[in-house]
Amino acid sequence: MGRIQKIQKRDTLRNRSIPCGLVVSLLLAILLSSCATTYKRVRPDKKKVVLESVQTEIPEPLLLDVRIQTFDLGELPSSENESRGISSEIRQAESKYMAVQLKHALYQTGYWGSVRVVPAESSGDEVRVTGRILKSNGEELKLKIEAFDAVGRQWFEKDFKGAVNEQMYKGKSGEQVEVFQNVYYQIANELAAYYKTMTPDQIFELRQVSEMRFAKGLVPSAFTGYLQKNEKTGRFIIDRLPSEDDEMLARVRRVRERDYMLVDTLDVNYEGLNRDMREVYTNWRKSRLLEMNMIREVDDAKNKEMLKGGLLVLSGAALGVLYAESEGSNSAIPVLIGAAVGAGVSKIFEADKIKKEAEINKAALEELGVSFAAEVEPTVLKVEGETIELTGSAEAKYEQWQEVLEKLYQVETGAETFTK
Amino acid sequence: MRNIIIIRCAFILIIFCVTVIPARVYGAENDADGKIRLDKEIEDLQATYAVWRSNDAEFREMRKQDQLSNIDIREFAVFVAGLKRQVIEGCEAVRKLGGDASLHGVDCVKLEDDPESKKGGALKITKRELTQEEKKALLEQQMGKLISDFDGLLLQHQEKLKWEQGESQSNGSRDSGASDKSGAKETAGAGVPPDGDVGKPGLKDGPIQRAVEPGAGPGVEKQGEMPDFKKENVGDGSDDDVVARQLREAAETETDPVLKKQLWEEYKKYKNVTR
Repeated sequence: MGRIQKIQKRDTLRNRSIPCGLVVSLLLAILLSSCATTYKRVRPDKKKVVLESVQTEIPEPLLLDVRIQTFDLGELPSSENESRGISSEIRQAESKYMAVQLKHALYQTGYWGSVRVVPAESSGDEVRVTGRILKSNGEELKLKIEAFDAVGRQWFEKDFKGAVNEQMYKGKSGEQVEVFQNVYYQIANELAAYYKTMTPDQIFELRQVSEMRFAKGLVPSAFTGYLQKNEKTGRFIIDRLPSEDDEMLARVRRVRERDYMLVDTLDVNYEGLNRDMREVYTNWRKSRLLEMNMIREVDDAKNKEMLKGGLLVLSGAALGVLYAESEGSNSAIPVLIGAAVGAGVSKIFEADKIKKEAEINKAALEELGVSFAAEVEPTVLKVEGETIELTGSAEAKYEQWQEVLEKLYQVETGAETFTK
Repeated sequence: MRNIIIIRCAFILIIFCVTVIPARVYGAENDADGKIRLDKEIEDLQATYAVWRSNDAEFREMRKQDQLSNIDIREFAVFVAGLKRQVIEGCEAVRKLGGDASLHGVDCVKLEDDPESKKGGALKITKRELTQEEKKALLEQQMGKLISDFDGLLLQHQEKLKWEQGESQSNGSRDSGASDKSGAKETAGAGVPPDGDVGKPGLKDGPIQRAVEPGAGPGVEKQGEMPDFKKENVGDGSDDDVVARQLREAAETETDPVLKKQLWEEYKKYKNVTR
């Protein structure tokens, strides 16, 4: 008989514990979802990347010119939180700023001839570097970088990333520094590493191919037959070269000198933009990181309250189960249940209040982005306008050069039908 | 009646003797004079042409070798441009006298009546077929001009940038000294000058100073102060006579900036005189 009673009691308890378990599971689910953070914490880079520099100066004929194309803007983050305060206007400015930062890093290595930031690809570049912004939010920077040369060799295609914290925005003396120097140094080191694998013969060949590609682009009829392109590998091979006193080659070199001048002028534009936006951009990144950290703090506080509240409610539920098991023998339990649930609900309300505080920080983050974009946009547009104007004029002139040089070639080879 | 007829015939005979016979004699004398004048003009033209050619060649050679000071260049250019004008005027004088200077070794531009422009009284300058060398030289000139134009464009842009940078720096020093300081600090440590000029001395890099001065023709590098002649001072040439048109054309096609300026000066002088 006693056994039967025990079994009945266990069944009763099991029947009661089903809704209890459901309540507990629901509470846990609510707690976990409420405890989600807006911005995950990121561990900053601990190691400082050392820039690989030349030990002895490289002779001039072995120096390669590098052209860095202004970076591709990449895709803006799709999540609401990640994209807050980030816009394509800001990316436009960053795409130029970062290219110039990389240029500075390359110059410091001493491995390269002239390093210039350019708006687009052109024929006859010796080494070209392209980049794509994968992530840039003031705390993390992730870039996809590709480098290739005039011969058609791809040097590498790799992602480079770095992360910083608030303290890193302040140098030892409290001055502003380029916080993502590590990223640029990594890229510079990668380029230097590839360069070091090249033999002097390969470097000379690369420079000759570069010149011939430029010449062929300018006067196709005069420079056909000097280069061959392997369709499989996409690489250029030199078949033969014009003599050093070739008149047409001398003319091409004159034009190429103008191409250098144009690139120099465009580069000055980008340098100007970099200089103009450096301070305001650093401030924006820093402020953005501060706001993100504030949101994180608010999230932490909210989560803490939510956890406390949840635990109190859970303990109330546990007491309820205990009370049921004791079949109402302990009259103090209902009081305790009431107190625990009451305190728990109060904590949850408190957490909700804190959550609302975070909304203010989010709005501030948005506002920061808007005001930075508004500040930098006119300068970016001005630089872009000047670049278009200058490259447009250059293209028109280039076409005229092509025409005159073609005629000259025809006159010189006797194939002309020219009459003035 | 017969007497009257005889008297009339005698009168006509007297008039004929008084007017036609001397006129014929005078005409023959004139023809002889014209021949002498033409020969004289051709002789003068040949001499001027020879002097102009040798001096023009010498001037260009010296410009290439950069042997002259700015003052000497200018004086020499004045001289060569003056000779050029004399050659063009001489050619025109010979043409007016019915001569053909090209038969005497002078390369004058041939003229022919243009039915289209006959109404306005203008003359069309007909060009002879160019030799291969001339075509090449002409194309080289065109190339030089295109390059000079491009250099001018870049130089203009660089000047603008310099000015803007000066402006922003002066504004920066007024508005935010802190920003300059921070920039200097950052780049000093990194080995990059604060103005962003990261060109490495002694290496292959050659920044924007590569520009050749505007107006410089092929092979003409920077040679001191450049002439500031403005083409808008010379009108559109619609009222030019033959000499003026040839002078204008010579000035327009000239690639040496100093000589070009002097040829325009000669053009202006000629226009002032004929006006």
